[in-house]
Amino acid sequence: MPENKSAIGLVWAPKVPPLFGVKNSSEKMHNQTKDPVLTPGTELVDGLYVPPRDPRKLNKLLKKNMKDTAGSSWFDMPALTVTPEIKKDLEILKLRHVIDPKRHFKKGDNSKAPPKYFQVGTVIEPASEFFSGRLTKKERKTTLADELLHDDALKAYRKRKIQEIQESRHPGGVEKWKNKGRQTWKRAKQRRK
Amino acid sequence: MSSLRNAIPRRTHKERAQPQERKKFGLLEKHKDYVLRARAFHQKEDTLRRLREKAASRNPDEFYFKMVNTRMVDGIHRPKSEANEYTPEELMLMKTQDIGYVLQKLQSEKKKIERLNSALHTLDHQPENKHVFYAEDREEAKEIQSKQFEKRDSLASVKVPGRIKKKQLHLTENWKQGKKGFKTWKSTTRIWPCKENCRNLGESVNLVKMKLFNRQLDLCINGVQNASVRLYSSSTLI
Amino acid sequence: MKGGSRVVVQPHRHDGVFVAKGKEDALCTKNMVPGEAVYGEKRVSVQNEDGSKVEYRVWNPFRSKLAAAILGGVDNIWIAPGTRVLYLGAASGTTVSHVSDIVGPTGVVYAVEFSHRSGRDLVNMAKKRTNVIPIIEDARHPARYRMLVGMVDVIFSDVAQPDQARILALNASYFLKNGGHFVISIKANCIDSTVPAEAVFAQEVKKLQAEQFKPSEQVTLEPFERDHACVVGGYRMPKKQKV
Repeated sequence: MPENKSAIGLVWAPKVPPLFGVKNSSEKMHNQTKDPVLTPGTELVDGLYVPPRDPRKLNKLLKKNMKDTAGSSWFDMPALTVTPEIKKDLEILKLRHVIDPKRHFKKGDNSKAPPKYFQVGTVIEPASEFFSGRLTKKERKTTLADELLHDDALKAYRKRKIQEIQESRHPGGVEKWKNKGRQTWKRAKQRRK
Repeated sequence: MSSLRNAIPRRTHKERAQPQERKKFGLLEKHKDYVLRARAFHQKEDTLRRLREKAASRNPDEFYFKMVNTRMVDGIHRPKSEANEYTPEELMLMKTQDIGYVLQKLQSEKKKIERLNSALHTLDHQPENKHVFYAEDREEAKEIQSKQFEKRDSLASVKVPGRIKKKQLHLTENWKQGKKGFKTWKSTTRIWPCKENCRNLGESVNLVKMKLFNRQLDLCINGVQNASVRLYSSSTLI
Repeated sequence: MKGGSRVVVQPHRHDGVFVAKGKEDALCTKNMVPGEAVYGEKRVSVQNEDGSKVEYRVWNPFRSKLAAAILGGVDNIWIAPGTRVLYLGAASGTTVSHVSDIVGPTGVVYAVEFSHRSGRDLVNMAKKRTNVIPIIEDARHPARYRMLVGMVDVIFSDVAQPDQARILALNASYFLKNGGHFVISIKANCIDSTVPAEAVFAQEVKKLQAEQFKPSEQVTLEPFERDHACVVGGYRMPKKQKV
C-alpha cells in the first residue's frame, strides 16, 4: 500500500461520494486505503495526537516545536527576524558615540554578531510631558535611522563636518579638483542673471 | 621801529606777587581780578533784584498748566512724584508675586533636570561608586578577584595592546623564577589579611602575592581601581 | 528619549530586567499592567511579530535604590521571575511596582509600609497588580503580620531607620528561608550623621554578620544618591564542602 502523506494520529473524514465521476480506478483505491488508524508520519496535527513511541522521534518533534525565545527568565522575549532596516538600527546603536562628539557611552559588549533577542518599540511619554518631551506626528519615524536623518542638530553638524573635511582635503584654488561641465556653467550663468 | 627795538633783549616786567608773610591769603588780587569778581557780583545782584520785583508784582490769578501737576514744597515748585504710589499691602503683594515667579522658574528647571536624568543610564566615565566584595577565606577572595578581573578584561574601556600584555606575562614569569632586579610585591601591592595569617599560610601566600602583583599591574594599566576584596576577620567566620 | 522615538529593548544581565537602547539608554521592566504608568514614568510599547503588544516601563535610578544598585554594577540582585520577595519600607510603591514586574505573575511581593498616606498609594497600586500584597504595619513587629506572609526567598529592605539591621534580622527570622538572600539599602545619614559614611557601612555590615547574615557585596549608589550603599548577601547559607 502506498504511504499516505497524511498526518500523524487519527485522521478521519466523512466518506462523501465524489461530486464528479472518478475516471481512474486507482484513485478509488487511494481513497479507500485511508483508514482511521494510527498512521506513522512526521507531521503534527492540531487536536488529537499521540506522540510517537520512538524516543528519538519524540525528541525531534519536541525540538522542532520549541520556540526561539530568550527564556522564562526574560518572559519569553521572542527573537526577531532581522530585516535590513532593523540591521541598520542595530548598527546605529553600536556607533552611537559617533553621532554626537560630546556624548560618550560606556563600551558595551564587543560582540560582532547582532543580538539575537531584542524587540523594537516606541516610547510613550507620560501625560505631564505632553509639551516638553514629545515628538509630533510628523517627527515620528519608523526607524532610528530615519529619526537621525531628520534631526536638525545632526544635519547641521554633518554639513559642517563635511565642509570642513572637503576644505582640508580639496582646498579651493586647485584647478584639478574643480567641477567643470555644462551643468555648472549653466548654473553660474543663472546665478549671474 | 618796534622791530629794531626788539633786536635788543629787554627785561620783562613781572607782576608783584603776594608777599611771603601773606601767602596764607592766597593770590594777590590785581585790578583785572577785581573787575571779574565785581562784574559777577553785580550781575547776581541785578538778577536777584529783578526776581524780587517780579515776585512783588505777581498776579495772584495767574494760571499755567504745569501747576496741575506741581506743588509748592518749602517755597519750591516740585512736580508731583513720577513714582507709582502703592500702599504697603500692594507692595507686599507684588513682592510675593515676584518671589513666586522666581520659584516657579526654579521648579520647572529642576523638573527638566530630573526628567533628563531619569534617562541617562550609560555614560562613559570612570565609575564613581565603590564595589566591595566580602569573602570568608583566602580561596574565596582569590575566586572573587579572578572573576572580577575576567569581567574587567572583557569590558575594558581601554584596549591593552598585545605586546604590553606579553610584557606583563614576561614580568611575572621572571618574578616566579626569583630573578633579581624586579620590584618586590611589597612596594606595589597591598594585601588585605593580617600578619598572623601570612605566617601560617606560607607557600600559598607567595602565590597569592604574585597573583596580586600581576593583577595590580592589570588594574593600573586598565585604570580601573574601584573594586576591592575584604576578608572577614577570623573571629567572625560563619 | 522623547515620546514617539524608536528604541530597541534587549534583555539585561539580570533576570527579568531589560535595557531600552535608543539615543539614550534606560533600564526598564516588563509592565504587568499594560497601558498604565504607576508614577508618571515613560513606557515603551512593542508590537510583536504575531500581533500581540508588550509594554516595558522605564526604571528611574534616581527614585529607586534597587535600580541605582543595578546600574552601580551589583553582581546579583537575587530577584528573578518567580521569586517571593518581602519588601520592607515600601513607601508609595514606586520600586515595589518594578519588583512586581520583575517577579512576574508567578512570584509574590509582600510590601510592608507603616505610613498611612503612602500606604494608600500602595494599596491603590496593589489593586491593579495581583502579585503585590500590601501590608500597612510596622516592620518592627513582624509578629503582627505573620499570618499574611509565607516563606520568602529574598528580603529587600529600604526602611531608613537607625535600627534597620535589627528589623531585618527579626523579619528574616520569621520569614526568610534558609539559604535565602537579603538586599538592604543603608543611608549613612540616618544611622549616624557624625561618622563618615564608610565607617557607617562597615558598622552595619558587622551588625549583620552578627545576626547569621553573610554579606557578599556592597555597592555605593553614587552618582544617584549620596552616602548610600546597598549590601547584598545570604542568610543562614549552608557551609561549603571543602574539596
